[in-house]
Amino acid sequence: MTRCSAIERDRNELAAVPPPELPGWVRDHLTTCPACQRRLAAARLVRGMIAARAGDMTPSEGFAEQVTHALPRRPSPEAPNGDLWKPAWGLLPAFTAAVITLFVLYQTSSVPGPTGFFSTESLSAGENLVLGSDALEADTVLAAVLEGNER
Amino acid sequence: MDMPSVGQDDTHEGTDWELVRRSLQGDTVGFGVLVRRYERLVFHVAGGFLRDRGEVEDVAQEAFLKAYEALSRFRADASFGPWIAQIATRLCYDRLRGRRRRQEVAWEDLSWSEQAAARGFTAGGTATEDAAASRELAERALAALPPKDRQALILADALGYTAAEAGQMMGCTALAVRLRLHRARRAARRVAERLVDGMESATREADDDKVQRDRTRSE
Repeated sequence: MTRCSAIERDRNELAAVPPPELPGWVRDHLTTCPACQRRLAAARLVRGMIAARAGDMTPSEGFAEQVTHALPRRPSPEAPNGDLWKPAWGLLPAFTAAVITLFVLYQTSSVPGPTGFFSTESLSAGENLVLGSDALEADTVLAAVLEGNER
Repeated sequence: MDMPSVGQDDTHEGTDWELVRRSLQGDTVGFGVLVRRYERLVFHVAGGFLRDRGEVEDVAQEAFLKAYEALSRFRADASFGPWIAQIATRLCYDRLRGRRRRQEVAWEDLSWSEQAAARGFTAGGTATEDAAASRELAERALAALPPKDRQALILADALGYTAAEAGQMMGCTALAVRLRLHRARRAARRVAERLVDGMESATREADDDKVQRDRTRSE
């Protein structure tokens, strides 16, 4: 390996070494080789620029306090639940009224359900068959069929 | 350079997760501990992208406020450092979007103090001699690199983070960081070589002028 290629390979490490502390063979070579002088000068320049670019990036005194003062107030974990239920209690009367209205409409509709509030005596055998909650018996089904034929 | 930690930091003030839980219960003091723990990391990340110190501070503050708002999504097994670094990175991308990348700077474009800083670097000097000029030179010379490549270069080569750590902060894989790093190093070297060429030709011209003046004077 030539001295030029050795300097090319190790230029970053050599750039970190102060000039007087460079190995003797490197110093000797640099006095006679402008290409290696240029190579090493560029490596030192890159090293210096990167260090300069990274410097002066420390936070100012009191930065953390500045951030904590700017923080939005975070509500305690219980508070959101309480806030959530407040409008729900306000809606309770409306909800009750809606349930009562639906119940009345349902009971007065033309096809009432088997709620037990109305007598089933006046119902036909077919209506009993459909609305009744008891298990189906053969007689009931037969009565419903015959009644239908009579109509 | 003293490098800020990326991972979990278990101190007497509590682990990251304990501080997150306290913050979720409205304890701003707990969140303040998290801010102090990771503020330097966030400044390093934002500083890798942005030039203006005020802008870096704005991004850092915004990153912590966004993290505070999104704290309920933070997982117990996650690390706060990479998470906040990613938030800061995204904010920087948002700011840089739409901004035109600057042209590669030539030696003649540099101010006298920037040229002096460059001469100092090539001779093996450090950035502390004229920190403002050095930083300005670095900013102008590296401004032509894509922001993500520049970020990888600063995190890895200047701040000493591993590719995996830089990847966690940038929201990409270690392999992607290594690829960016390779590209950024090559581009930075090319910029530096051009500046060295410009510096040498300027030095030669100045020497020729001096010789010419001395000759005229002796005649």
